[in-house]
Amino acid sequence: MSKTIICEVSEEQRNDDFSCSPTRVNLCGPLMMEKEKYAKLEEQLKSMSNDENGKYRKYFFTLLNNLEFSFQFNALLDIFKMDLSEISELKTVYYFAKSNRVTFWVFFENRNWTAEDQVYEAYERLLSIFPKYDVTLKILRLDGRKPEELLPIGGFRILGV
Amino acid sequence: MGFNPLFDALKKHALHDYNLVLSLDPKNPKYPDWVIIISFYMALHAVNAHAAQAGWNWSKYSKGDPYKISRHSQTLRYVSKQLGKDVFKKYNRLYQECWNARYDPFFLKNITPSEASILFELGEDVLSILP
Repeated sequence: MSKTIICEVSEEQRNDDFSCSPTRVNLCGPLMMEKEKYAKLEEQLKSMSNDENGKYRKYFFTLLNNLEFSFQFNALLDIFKMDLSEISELKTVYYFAKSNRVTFWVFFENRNWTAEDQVYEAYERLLSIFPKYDVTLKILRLDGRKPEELLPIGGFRILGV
Repeated sequence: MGFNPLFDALKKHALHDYNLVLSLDPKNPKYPDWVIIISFYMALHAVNAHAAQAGWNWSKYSKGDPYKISRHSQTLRYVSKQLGKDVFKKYNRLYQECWNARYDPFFLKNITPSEASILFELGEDVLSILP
C-alpha cells in the first residue's frame, strides 16, 4: 500500500514561494530520488542548445511529468530561463507563482517583435511541456522606466535571465 | 455537420467586431489603440467559435462559463494545441499588444498607425480560421 509522508525541504526550497510548505512525497518514491532525477535533468538542460529543443521535448516530457510537483516547477523556471537567456534584447524577467499558476512578466526596452517572437516560442514550449500548469505571459516595454514601476505590488521574484 | 448555435453566435460576434474595426480605417487608423483592442477581441471570438465548432471539451477550460474558454492562458493553450504555431504567434502578439494598449499609459506615444495596421492584419488572419 502506498503511504504519504511529509518531508522537510532544503533552505533553498524553503525560500521559494512555491515550495515553502512541506513537500508531499510517496514513501515508495522518496525525495532523494526526485533530487537525483532533477539534477540529471538540469545537467542535460545546461548542455543543450536551443536548436535541440525540438529533439529533446518528447524525451523530457515523460521525465518532467514524473517529477514531484515542486521539482516540476523548478524545471519550468529553468527551461524558460534557458530559452530566454538567448535573447540579448531582453532586459529582465519577473515571475509570480501560486499553486499551479505562474505568471511571467518579460521586459524589453522598446517594442521588438522579432525578439518577442522568440519569447512566444519559449512560452509555447512551456504550455506544451507542462500541461498541469496555468502559465501566463506578459510582455512589457520599459520605455525608460524601471520594471519595479510597472510590476503589481508584492509577490514577484526576479527570474535572473 | 449539423447547425451549431454556439458556433454560429460566436462567429457572428467575431464578424460584428470585424465590421466595427473596419469602420475605424484600420489601414491608416486615427485610433490605433482601439483598432488593436477590437482586432484582438475579434480574434478571441473567432478562436472561441472554432473551439465550439470542434466540440472542444469546454468543462476542462471554462470553469463555470458555458460559452467560452474562461482564462486567456487557456485560450492560448487551445490555440497552441489546435491551430498551430503560426496562428499561436499571431494571436499571442495581438493579445500582448491589446493588454498593453489597455494598461500601459506609454502605449499610445509609441504605437504607429502602420504597426496597428499590421496587428489588424494578424487579426484578419486569425479570423480566417473560421469556415
